[in-house]
Amino acid sequence: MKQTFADLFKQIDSKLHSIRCLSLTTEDGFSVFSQTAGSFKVEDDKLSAVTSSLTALGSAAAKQLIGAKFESTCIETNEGLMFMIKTKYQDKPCVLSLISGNDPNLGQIRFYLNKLAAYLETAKLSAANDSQPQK
Amino acid sequence: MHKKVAFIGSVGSGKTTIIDNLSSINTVNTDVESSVDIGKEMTTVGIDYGHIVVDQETTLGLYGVPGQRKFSFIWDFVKDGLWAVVILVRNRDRESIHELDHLLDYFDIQQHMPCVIGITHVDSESGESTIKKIKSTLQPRGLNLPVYTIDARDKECANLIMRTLIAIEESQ
Ligand SMILES: Nc1nc2c(ncn2[C@@H]2O[C@H](COP(=O)(O)OP(=O)(O)OP(=O)(O)O)[C@@H](O)[C@H]2O)c(=O)[nH]1
Ligand SMILES: [Mg+2]
Repeated sequence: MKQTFADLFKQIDSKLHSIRCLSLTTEDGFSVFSQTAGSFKVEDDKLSAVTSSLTALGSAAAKQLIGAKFESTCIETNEGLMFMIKTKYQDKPCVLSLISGNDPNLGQIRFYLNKLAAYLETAKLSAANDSQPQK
Repeated sequence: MHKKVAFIGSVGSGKTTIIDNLSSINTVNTDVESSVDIGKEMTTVGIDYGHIVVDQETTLGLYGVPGQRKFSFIWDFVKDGLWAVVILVRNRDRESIHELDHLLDYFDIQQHMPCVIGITHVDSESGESTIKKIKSTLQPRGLNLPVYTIDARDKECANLIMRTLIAIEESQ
């Protein structure tokens, strides 16, 4: 059986523990896959649009202010963080984003999300379970 | 004084193009490839920012928003504290005129604020019918705004829009 996005969610959740959301969005803000944990709810369309804008603004800052190549954006809150990283899926530029649990380890999140982003560049996931809440 | 000008209008109406054209600094650009067919390759997903120095006292900040409604949370940032608004409408495009209606409400456009409408893409077809449709959108709202046919790629056109905004303010 082919791998689904839900499988990837489970895998990364087993490493990082109690993540709340993992989502893949096209660079221009359309949701490709999205998976949330338990009772956590997020509107896919809103998440995709915000992810797309923040990444584009992050890229602009990296290029025009720092003169460097953009890699990722991170938003820290008092209840965990949201980490966004550029990737490709099926040759389309995309953004992979993760919303952590309450007690995140940024180093670990960066490490595993980087790995997953690299994996997605050549992966072909089965469409089943996309945008479904995780049981 | 730094004054804030918003450029709003439907996808492909020319907001990014006109800001690029007007700005005296390299603009902040957040265009990415569109994954769906929107009649052009790139689309704005963040914000365009450009800057004009009018005279010693006045600088204008040019803020271009994404045309796609799903990014309307960006419109909300731009909406506050505006000095002027430029609304671009794509010629002979029903969606674009429909969007004008929505944007007049969203940005709460009032007669007393400097606001100009520019009809773009008039090089291939006359803008007459679009002007009529725009007027009939404005009239029930009691709005009487200047409407120009322009080419967003043309520097003279872009400057005309800015001069008009300044003239409107000076006449008040
Ligand atoms: N022929 C013609 N082309 C124009 C005119 N004005 C703008 N364009 C072109 O039309 C396109 C307009 O694109 P943008 O400036 O990206 O439009 P936008 O309003 O920023 O669109 P979004 O960011 O996607 O909402 C560009 O390819 C311009 O070169 C015009 O008056 N005539
Ligand atoms: Mg644009």
